[in-house]
Amino acid sequence: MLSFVLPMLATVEDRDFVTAIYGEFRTLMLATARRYVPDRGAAEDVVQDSLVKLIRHADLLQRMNRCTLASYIVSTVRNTAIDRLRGDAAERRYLLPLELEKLCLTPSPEESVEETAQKREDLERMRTVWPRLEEEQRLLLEGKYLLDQTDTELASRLGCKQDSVRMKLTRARRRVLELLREGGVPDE
Amino acid sequence: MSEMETMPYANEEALVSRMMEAVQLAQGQAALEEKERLKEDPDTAPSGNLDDACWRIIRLGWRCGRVAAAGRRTVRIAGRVAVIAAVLVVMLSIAFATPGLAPLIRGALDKWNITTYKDHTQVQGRIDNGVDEEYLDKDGNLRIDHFTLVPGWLPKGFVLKETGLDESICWLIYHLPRQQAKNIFISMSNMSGSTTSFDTENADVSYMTIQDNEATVISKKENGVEYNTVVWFMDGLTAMVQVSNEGVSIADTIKIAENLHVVWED
Repeated sequence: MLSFVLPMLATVEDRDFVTAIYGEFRTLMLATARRYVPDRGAAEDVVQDSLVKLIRHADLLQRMNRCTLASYIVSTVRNTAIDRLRGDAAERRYLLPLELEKLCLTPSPEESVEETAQKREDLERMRTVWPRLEEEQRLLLEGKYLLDQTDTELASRLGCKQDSVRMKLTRARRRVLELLREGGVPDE
Repeated sequence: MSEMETMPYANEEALVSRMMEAVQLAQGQAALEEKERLKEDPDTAPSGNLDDACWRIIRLGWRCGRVAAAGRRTVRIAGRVAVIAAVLVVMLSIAFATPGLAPLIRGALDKWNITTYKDHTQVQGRIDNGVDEEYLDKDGNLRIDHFTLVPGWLPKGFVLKETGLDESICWLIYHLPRQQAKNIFISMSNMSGSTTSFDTENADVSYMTIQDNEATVISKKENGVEYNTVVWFMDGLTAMVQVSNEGVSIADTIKIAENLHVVWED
């Protein structure tokens, strides 16, 4: 029962890990929060809420490589800020989606040229369709693929039934493909 | 024919997953680069207050983990039994204005100065309260920062909104996201020589047993919103633990009280 109401760190390793990542990423977390929530005090609240969410997923975070971890932390802060803004109509003007146009991929030494090219093309494809997706579809895709959220968590965020999440996800994926077809993205 | 045009439905997920993986990688790279850039700008560093709050959250998470692992109210830390809420739940109301109607208060009179006024009741902890010295610092003040409140049960949907600590009180606030009138406030206060007042005007009072302690339950309705407050006076400490809320039923308030852990760590 406790796990549903409290942020819990089950082991010393979990505690030390969360302590370390907060120490390392705290400035980035605050900078990310301030991009969405202009008021510094409110942004600090977002950082605290985000930390609670990170604690809940301490076990998952420890299995991530650094790049995925950094992405997860940024997505967590952004989504926490967005959830906060969604509850306040006056603040909705600050609601910004994940901005893919500014992202680019640096080749990794472990990857082949073909693998890097494939990833760049996949990024470019998503960059093309992302702004044309509905806000809920973007939240679903980011929650599902970047935050590894369960259907239950996604249902809670969207205020819908768990069964509806699968349908909404299917529609979001199909919408991505429809937009790609409409956009005439070239064959690989 | 492009990949998308020939895509069987079963492969939709694989393609979108692959595309989002590329997004994740790019976002991660950008985040790591930004993290390095931010090191050069001291103005972007979090305030000491934010850091303090976050370290408290981590400490709370750690303590909660151990309470859950123990699976019982008494937690043994470093070979010593921790202090667990041996509490008096007090509902304060105008009933207290009449001598003899508040057995809880009467029982606590040797530790607390209680004064009832028309619209509120004031509680003051006596300095010479027989506090166990192991919980005091070298200046004789209760080490409130060594206590952690750990709710064992909360109504469905409530999530942690805030944790706080200062010299005389530690607290937790839970709320229902997107419902502003639903909050649960749980606190523990050092009452040595200090005074707290409760709004007891037109409040309903009842008594019961919680965690083997005499308890009183108070309820008040105002503008259609139900307010409930539960107060524990901790045995052996000049400390008060309080659960108060708005928009949460008495039954749920009592259940929170019955399942609250007060954990001590030296």
